[in-house]
Amino acid sequence: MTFDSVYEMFKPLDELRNQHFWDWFSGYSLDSKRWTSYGNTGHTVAMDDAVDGGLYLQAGTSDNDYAGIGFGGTLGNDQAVRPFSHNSSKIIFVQKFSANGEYQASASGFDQKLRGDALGAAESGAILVTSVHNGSGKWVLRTGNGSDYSGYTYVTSSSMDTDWHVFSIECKSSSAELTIDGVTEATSTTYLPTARMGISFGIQSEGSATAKTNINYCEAYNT
Amino acid sequence: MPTQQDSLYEHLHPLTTVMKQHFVENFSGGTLDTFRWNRATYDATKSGTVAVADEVNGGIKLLTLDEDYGHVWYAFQTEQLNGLESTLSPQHFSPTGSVFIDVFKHTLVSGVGQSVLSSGGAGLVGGGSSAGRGDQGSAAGSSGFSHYCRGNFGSFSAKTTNAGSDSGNISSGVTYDNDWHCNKLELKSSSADWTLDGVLKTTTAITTTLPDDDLAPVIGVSKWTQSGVVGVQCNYVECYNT
Repeated sequence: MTFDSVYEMFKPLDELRNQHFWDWFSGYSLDSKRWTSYGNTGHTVAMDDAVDGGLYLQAGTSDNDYAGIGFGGTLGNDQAVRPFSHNSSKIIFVQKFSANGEYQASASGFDQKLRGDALGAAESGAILVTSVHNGSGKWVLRTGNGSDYSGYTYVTSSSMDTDWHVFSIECKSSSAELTIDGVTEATSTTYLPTARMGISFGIQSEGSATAKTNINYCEAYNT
Repeated sequence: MPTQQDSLYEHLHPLTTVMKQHFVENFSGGTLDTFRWNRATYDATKSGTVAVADEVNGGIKLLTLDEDYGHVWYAFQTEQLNGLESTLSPQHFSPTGSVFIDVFKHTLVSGVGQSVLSSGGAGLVGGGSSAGRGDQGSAAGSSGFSHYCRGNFGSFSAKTTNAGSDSGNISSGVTYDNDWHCNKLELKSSSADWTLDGVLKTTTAITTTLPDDDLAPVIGVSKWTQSGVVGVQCNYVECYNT
């Protein structure tokens, strides 16, 4: 049995499909009509020439050097395109990280603003965070509502490692949920996003480390 | 009806499984996608064209010039028309666990008959400096697995290549035509399979001269010295690691 259309893989034709996006992160270069890439001295945003390599982001070797991608706009400001709902959206991505101690912060998921340093107080978002400042060595689900954010409150059960994982973050009306490899690892019920969001992947280096991350699939949609 | 899922991911894998690199190209739109693919030739004076085809189901069309040894390829690389052979990058696909699927047809125009000694095809190619040529990947330093057709063979064919050696012509037994066909090339740990329109054609498995380089998709066409223009069209490519 097969579907006649991609549409019908997700919805019957008598139901309207919401915004749905995916990127395979393969091919010669990043599609710069979809994504804006950014970074300061020493950064790289490029396809990784390795089996399963996808796209990689690498920051420089000084504290707070950064690199990232998003849906346009200028760094630190609202993304140019923010099609995903603050309370009914889901993002799925396949990503791997270098060692935990190499990041001041990383940010992967939904973000109102174009920034890769783990969302702050002035924006809505729901992101996966890794950071040397989180001493537990775990992953973190961080949510922000435009005036404050959840910090390191929502820590995963599993420890961070350098393997490929499939992550999902779902924003619901009264919670945001992080799964890793299909297992629910953290659920936020505070500082939930209040504004529509774009997609953001970014990293910020710690000390002399060269923070790096690879992404070979991203899919986001409104539920 | 099969089961609808919320996400494309879950149509391919459950969320408990980490999906490996996967790539789909539909070859539709007003212009070529030059972020993912670009044109490649090894001799700029003989470079053919690549364009979106303004036809029902047209996809993209690659045409040679009416020149001896006219050729053109479309691959994961910068546009390369200066006579250099180029390296494909990124080579995201495994020589020991990957699949390439396309919807493809051979187009002969300008009165060129099927007896013309031409070669057009597609597949996964990888390796060193000549990999961007894509013409069966048989040069030293390159390897690959492709389906193709040469006018003097009379039927659709495939071969694996490795560092100047190849598996020899694997004939499908299907007489060459100008219709659309679906090809699937699968590389496994110690063998390679080719299906044409869903029918396995490597009934004797290819187990020698298997590729050993990381790989990237390439589509191409080239001709020998007969007059006329030869071409291929492609309206779908999908690759993934298994």
